[in-house]
Amino acid sequence: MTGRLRIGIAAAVALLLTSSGLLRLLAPGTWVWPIVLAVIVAAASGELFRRLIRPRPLVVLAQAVVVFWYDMVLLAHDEAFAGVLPTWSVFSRLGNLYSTGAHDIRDTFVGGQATSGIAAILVLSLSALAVLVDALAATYAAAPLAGLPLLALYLVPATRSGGGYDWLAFALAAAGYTALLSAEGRDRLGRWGRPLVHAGRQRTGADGKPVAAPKARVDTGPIAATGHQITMYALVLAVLAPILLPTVSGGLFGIGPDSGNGNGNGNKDNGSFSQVLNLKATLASHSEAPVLNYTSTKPEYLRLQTLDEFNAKSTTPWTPDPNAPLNPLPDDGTVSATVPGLTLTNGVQPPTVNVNIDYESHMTTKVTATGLSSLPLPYPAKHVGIPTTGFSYDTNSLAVMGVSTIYDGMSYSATVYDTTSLPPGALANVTGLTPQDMTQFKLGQDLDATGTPSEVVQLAQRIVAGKTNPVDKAQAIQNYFLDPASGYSYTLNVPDNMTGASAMTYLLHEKKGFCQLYADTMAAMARAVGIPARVALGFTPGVQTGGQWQVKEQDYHSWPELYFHGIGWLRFEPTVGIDNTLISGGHGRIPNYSTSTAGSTTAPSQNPTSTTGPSSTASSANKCPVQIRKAGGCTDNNTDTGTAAPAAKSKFSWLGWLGAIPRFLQYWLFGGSGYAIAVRFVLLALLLIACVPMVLRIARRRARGKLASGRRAKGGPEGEDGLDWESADVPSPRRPEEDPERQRILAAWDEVRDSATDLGYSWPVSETPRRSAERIIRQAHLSRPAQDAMGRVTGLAERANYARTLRRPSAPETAPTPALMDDVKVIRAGLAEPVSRRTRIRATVLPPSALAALRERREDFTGRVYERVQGAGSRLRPRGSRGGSGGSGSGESGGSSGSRPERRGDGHGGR
Amino acid sequence: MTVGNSELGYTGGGGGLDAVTAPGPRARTGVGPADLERISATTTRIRTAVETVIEGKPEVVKLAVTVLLAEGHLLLEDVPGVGKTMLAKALAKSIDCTVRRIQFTPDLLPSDITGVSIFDQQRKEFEFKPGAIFANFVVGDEINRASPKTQSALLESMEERQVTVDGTTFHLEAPFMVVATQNPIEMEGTYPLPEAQRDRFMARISVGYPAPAAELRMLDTHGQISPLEELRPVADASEIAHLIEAVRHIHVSDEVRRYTVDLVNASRTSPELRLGASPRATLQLVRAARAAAAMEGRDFVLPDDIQHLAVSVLAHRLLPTAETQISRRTTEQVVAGLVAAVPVPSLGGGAHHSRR
Repeated sequence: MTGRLRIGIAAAVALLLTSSGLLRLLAPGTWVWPIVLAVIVAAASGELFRRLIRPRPLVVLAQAVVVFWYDMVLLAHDEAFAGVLPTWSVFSRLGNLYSTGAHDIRDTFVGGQATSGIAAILVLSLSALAVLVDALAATYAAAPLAGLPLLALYLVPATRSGGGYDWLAFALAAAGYTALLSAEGRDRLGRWGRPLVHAGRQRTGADGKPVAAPKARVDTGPIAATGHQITMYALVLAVLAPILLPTVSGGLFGIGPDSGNGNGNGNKDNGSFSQVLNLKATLASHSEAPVLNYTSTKPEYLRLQTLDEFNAKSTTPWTPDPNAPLNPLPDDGTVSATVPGLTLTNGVQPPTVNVNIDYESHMTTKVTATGLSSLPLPYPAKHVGIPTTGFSYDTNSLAVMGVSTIYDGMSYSATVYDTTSLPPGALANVTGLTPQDMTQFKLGQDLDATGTPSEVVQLAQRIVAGKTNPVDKAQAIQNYFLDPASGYSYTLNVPDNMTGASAMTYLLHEKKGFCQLYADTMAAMARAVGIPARVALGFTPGVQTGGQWQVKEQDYHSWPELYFHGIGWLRFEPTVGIDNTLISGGHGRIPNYSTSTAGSTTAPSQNPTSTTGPSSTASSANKCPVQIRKAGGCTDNNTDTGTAAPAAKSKFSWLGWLGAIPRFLQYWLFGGSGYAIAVRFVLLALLLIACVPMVLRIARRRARGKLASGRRAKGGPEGEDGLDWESADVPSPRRPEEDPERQRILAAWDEVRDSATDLGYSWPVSETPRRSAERIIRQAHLSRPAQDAMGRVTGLAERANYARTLRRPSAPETAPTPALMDDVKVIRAGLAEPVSRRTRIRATVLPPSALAALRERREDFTGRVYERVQGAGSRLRPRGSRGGSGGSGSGESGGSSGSRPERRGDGHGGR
Repeated sequence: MTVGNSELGYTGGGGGLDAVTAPGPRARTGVGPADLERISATTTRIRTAVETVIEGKPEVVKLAVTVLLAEGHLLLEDVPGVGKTMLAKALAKSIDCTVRRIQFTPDLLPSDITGVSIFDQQRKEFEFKPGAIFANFVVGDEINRASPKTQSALLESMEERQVTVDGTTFHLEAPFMVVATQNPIEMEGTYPLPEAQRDRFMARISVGYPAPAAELRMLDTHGQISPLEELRPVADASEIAHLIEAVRHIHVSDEVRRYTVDLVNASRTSPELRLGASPRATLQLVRAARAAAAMEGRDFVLPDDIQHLAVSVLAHRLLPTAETQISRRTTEQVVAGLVAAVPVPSLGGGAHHSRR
């Protein structure tokens, strides 16, 4: 295969890989194959003409003609003369196809089927691109330039499709372009440089047979390997980084996990919040588009509307009360002087909160049925200040609506009662409904549970069994959904077009859903046990940024409101995970109504019910992710009375036995989608793998230290003095490598070598111990003691390696030598002195010696596998040149590789 | 038997080791410290003596003594006037033994070297007149000036330490060492040594120009009287023979042997060489390494010894390829490259790959 042919093929492959992104625009179909064929035709004709014709413009021209001919036969053969010769009508036919396709493109949505016109456009443009890329890359040998048309092609789906930049399409396109560059680089390198491998000379191998002479070519192996590695790392990083970054920031800084891909919401400009339960579409868009900002001392649920009418058979089971009693808003803006229905507090009204709201969305809040716009407002509002007139309020639900729209930039204020922190004593006194309640608040419609599946009713009755207080009953239903033991989870991925009844059974059976299902089901269950309930639509409190709370489109929410005699309407929150941005993207607050008057011992505050308001204690408890609660990690349950414990305590208490793991790590590991969790665990596994060299190095150092430190105790200093070495000079009956004394010395020596290697000193395999030691002493500017230690260890290592006996033949009067491992320590300290801190850290964390050992093991393994494979195939062909003298490679590598296999068989111990 | 040719799995070729008697009982236990001290002391004396003549070339002198102890022959190759002949003569003179000097000229005949049988008129029979080769030290000056047939007369005697004339074989005395000089510059009318004969020299040494300081000192000493005249023998032939015997029992570990074989093998497979080193080269490399180790007072050979001697022992036996010659790489450089590439084996661990 010539280099140019390789480039041509690589160019075709790159084009095909890049064009695979088109599959995101159009549903796969028969239009794919003509494109593939067009690219192949372009590449093949290019290669053919490059061989036949010299002038490069002519090559491109001929190539273009062939490809055009292919297009013509494919698209307009009935217009061509005899099906193969072009006529003028062919051009007009192609032109017609083109304009048809251009028209079709405007009408086709993403993911639709390709019409014949679109297919024609694709085939024509891909053919042109194929000729262009092939001409640039192969004919004009400018492969990097060929990246421009490829980039253009890549950007077509990337900018059109709603999902942003798909990682797979990017990876494929990048891999294709890299392959093209690699082929070109190989060709370019091959043309230059000194040939390192020689041709035409027959050598005789060790076995006497002539060794096949290798082909003369430039050995680009090392360069190519480096290039491949760099490219691989770059590609993997480029693909992984965008996946990880938003998730990480989401886990740490509270930004939603799916932030950053929200530009595809087509109905942003002139859409509206669906008042009739199609929350899913709004939520699924995960839009970060702001809806409103408000300033408030506590987070507020902002309600648009309540849905009172229930029809179990409809696909929109909950609808607003069509006959809602609307009163014009008074001039002073007073909606309700008291909390509706609140009588049990002896006339004491709950504290009020002032809220200033800026509406910042183009979306209207218009109710389709009535033509009125709803004002996002917390319940219950005492007073509102609206700049425009024409608003009315529903005396039943206190929803404020008007004929004029809620426009972008509208600012209004409201004073609302805080009903989430009613005293438990009041809640404990809640009794059954009275006829007065029924008429005052039109509760008849709010008790209508007709069509509720019987299993839902039975479940509700089972949950409330044994409880008498309606508030307790309602709280039990909410807790049932939130209890990790029930196994509910949050997902937007539910079937479409469910009726009210089927949605409830779906939720109970599949145990997953989003706010709408939870709110509907809880409302129906409450009605089934005799508590009036309605479904509220609106927004969760959003995210606090500075002094403001910011509500976005993805905060769109629905929740049940339940009526209690003497208390009025109370908000409940059965949606699992709505308080955890990592799970649902929501920013909900879970209310907790307690009827227990026992009070708490730690904080007899004015706020004994555990609210989910702005208090830091409660919110920290509420931040416990559902997954962790499922795992039993949360010991602090939300129904506990008096959870006004100090913040620090609750922070640790919910961690339980997982307390050792930092909190952010848990968020990081368990939050988000399954895909993100998988990616994180893969990363964690990679991190653990990265620790392997360090652990290996430490283990080796330990083992060697243990081995080497035993030497002096046994050998004793008398080996150095007095003893006539000639009489002691009896060669050990053991093989030298099995001699324990030698093993000790060699362990110390290996430790010195690995320490030096780790600290960045080179230690070539072709260097003798003595020369390495001398060089390193010079390089490291070792101090005198370290030099002496190095000399001692080197001398011993030389004797251990190469002498027949270990005894030193001279210098009986030398000072007693310190223990071997002490010498090693001195040397290591001396070596570490001149190197930079970075190198020292690397020596600890990612020691090169351990890496080399791992690589050696890997090579050893692959070598064995290779030998086995070769052994299996030895019947088919005589054993190759690999085994004997290594004659196929260059001399250096031949010599080294020749020595290594023998070493393996030596049965070296201690390592 | 710790030494001998069989250690490298090679038994043919050189007869050098056979010429000396089999090792005595002490040979089995290796070489003792007394022997080492003796070797060290004697060689130091010889080196000091020679260095009074050859100024500032301790390495060259050391190598020459190493070759002497290793029973090898020495080829001195360098430009004229750097002291090749002086070195040869000084080495010969520092030892109390028979020395012959042969000036190789184009008309020199083989019989001038080996000897000739002359008809004795009185006794009516042929009488063998020994040639110049019959000596402990033979200094062959300008060896490449003689014709190939004369050069090849040296062959048998150098390798087998015997001379055969008219079917009669005469053994040469031990120690026997040929120190030949040749001049690589003036190639006009010379006959370069054939490969076969080059291979018989253990080492080729290039003396090289002296350092300026040494040259100054040389002016002082050589100005008045030739120091060669002053040189007195510091050892005798029997002592040298004894040392040679002791050197043979220097320990060569399996690792060093393997390293030597690897190194020589690398020269055979190197793409830069047309002809690699012979098995004789392997033998002589190990032998020279033994001598070097003994001179340093060691009773075992280090890979350092092999590395140190590799260029001198191997380079003159190798033939570079045309590409190598064109790229102006000498065989010395090639051998140095091989030394820098072949991994040094160590006990148990094998070669470690820290950096590649």
